[in-house]
Amino acid sequence: MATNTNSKSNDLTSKELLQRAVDLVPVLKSRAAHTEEIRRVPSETVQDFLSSGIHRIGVPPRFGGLDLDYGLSLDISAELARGCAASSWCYALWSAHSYLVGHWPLEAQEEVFGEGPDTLCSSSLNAGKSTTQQVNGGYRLNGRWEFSSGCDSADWLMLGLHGISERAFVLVPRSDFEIIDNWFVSGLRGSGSKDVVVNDAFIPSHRVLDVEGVGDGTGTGWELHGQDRYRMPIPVLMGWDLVAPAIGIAQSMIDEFTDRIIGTSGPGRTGDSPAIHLRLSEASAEVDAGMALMRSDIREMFEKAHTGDPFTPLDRARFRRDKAFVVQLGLRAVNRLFDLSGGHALFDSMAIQRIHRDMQAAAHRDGLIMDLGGQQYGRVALGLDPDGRI
Amino acid sequence: MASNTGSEQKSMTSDELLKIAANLVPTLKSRAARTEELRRIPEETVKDFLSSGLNRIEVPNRFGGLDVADGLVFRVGEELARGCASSSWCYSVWSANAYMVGFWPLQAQEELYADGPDVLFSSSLTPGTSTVEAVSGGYRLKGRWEFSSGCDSASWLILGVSGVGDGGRTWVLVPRQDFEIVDTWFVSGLRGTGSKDIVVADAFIPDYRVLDVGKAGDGDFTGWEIHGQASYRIPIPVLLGWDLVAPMVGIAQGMIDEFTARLVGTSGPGKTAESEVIQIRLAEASAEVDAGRLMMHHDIRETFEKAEAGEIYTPLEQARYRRDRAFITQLCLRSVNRLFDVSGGHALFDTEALQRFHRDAHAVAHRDSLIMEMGGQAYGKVALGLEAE
Repeated sequence: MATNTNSKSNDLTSKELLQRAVDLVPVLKSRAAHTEEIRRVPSETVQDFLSSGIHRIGVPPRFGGLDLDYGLSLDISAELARGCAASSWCYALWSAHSYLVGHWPLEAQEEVFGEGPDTLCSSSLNAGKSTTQQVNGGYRLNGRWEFSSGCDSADWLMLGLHGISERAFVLVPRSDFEIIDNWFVSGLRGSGSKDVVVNDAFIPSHRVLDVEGVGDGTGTGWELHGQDRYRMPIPVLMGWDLVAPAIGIAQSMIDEFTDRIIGTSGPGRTGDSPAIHLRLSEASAEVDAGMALMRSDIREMFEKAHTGDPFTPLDRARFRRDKAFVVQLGLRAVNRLFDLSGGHALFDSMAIQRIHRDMQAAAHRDGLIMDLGGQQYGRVALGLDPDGRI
Repeated sequence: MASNTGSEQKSMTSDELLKIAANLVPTLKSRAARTEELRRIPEETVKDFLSSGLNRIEVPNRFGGLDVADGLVFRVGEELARGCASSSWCYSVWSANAYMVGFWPLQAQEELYADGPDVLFSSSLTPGTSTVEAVSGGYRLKGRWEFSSGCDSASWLILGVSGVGDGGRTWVLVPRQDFEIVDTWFVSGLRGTGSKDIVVADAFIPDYRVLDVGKAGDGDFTGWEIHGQASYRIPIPVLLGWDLVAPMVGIAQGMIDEFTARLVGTSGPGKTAESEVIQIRLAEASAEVDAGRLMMHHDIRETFEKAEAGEIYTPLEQARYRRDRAFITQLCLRSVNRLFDVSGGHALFDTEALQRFHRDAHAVAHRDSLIMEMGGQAYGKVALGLEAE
């Protein structure tokens, strides 16, 4: 992957990076149809993410990352989604994985970032169908995993499996996995979330992370990097990387819907219609509420991490609940506007139909559905132990 | 009304006041049934609001008010509603009115606060069926108004009238001896607010007790010049209305607290903590309230930041705050319904807080401006480049 192309990027401020994301929106938008067509994020977009410095927010500072609040990466994801959902989705995941790598033993981190900070990691964190065999110094791994967004541009892969501990992630270099192109889908087409196959790869022990307990404030990540993000349990911080693009997609629907109707008048589906006014009011309030909730939660999480406060089961369940709730608010907003956007909105050339498809795809993750992701909150609030992961 | 009872109140911090409000919650809760029965706020609750200093949050500083964090009054309103919706509602409205009288000419303000800061103002801001006649030095006013929450404890009234000046919205101040209360308040929700009718038989309103509402904080900077407090740089329609939304958020939170308290520790088949249906409802309802609360705090913070910086409020921003007041109210209403609907037959008894929260939430949400189709729609218009009505 590209090497450090901009040695000044270390001095970038949050404001400058956010502005770069804003400037990228029209560029991504102009490439959105092409991104769908090639069913992966185009290399020029990857290059833009790297050369603009926005990708380095996730990278640990000792490897050339920018020592900025990780929440910035989520704000940027939401912004990028106003241009292209699939590109934002991949940006958010690549960024999250760069942060996650910082939890591994130092030896593994040095391997991943050996060539510089501009390395991309793809993942498939749900345990796929895999077998692991313990061998001298590590494991031999065989298996197949699904939904590895952005894998075409990745130098490394992060895979979830059950064979080593109850839940472990392992790092696999590009030379050790194959991509199977099965990504023919209705939404988020450009994310290239294809299957990956590992055929008898050796995984040295230092490339294994036992996820249990990581982020409790005693681990490698915190000791090595001293950043608040490493004092947070992985399930607390992970997931927002999907929510931020999703709420950004919903905002893009508001933008697009408004642009199409502004200046029209007369009878029918125009700027004069009270039905349109009301739908737009309701939808935009849903998106604004989702954004406000997401930002408040993220701020609260980082405040807790900063002071070293523990995350109680109720806190953890609440963050999980809110990830689902925010996405569902966004989904309702998108449907509310799409449903009355008329026949012209259906054409392939129209952003509205793509935004609608992308939003459905983003909201098709189990953890982002209230009945599944939200329920644990109700259990814990009623004094019961969680019966699922929180 | 009670005179200044605590000279040390000036030094109270925002945190202390919030703590006082939190401590009042169980007290208000224990009086909630009787407050409904009386159909007004009991004397001892009024006294609590005054002696605790909570009512002084919105009194202008020069009249003995407390100079505390912007928007604190809404946090207090929210908190109190967890104990008793009607009491929170009246607290909020009295406070909003105390803030608003700071827009009037100084002569009027000095009359209101002649006996100290512990004065309560009730209001009925929609012009009732009234007539005004211009006379030397002011107006003669007659008429009848509805929904004057907390009027039984008020020393003054703010009344909306039409037909004064150039025809814009006008409010006038009327002292207690010039109005009568007609007890019409037999209602399904917010019973304790005593939002009764007001009759003015024939009162003289001197010019200085008249306010052109459209200009206050928006061209007429009397309030800002007298008080120098950021809230007087905010046009009245931008800030007014949150005093109704804050109690709503508190009611919905009260519902969640009560629902949770009833089910914690239950188990077995049926309507118990073990039920996934209940767990999902609670998750959804609590997320709705949290989202509503955060949005309200966010909007209020933004409103004050703009005021501090002396920025104007664009028509789109004004429409957005209006939209959000309706949206948050409706989120909270959905949340209350979501839990009430699965709370079972026992929740229906008069002795149960759940049915009262449910009735109270519906009463709040019956204000036209808090319904999306009415309060929210203008945002869509302005966002599409049209003029708001």
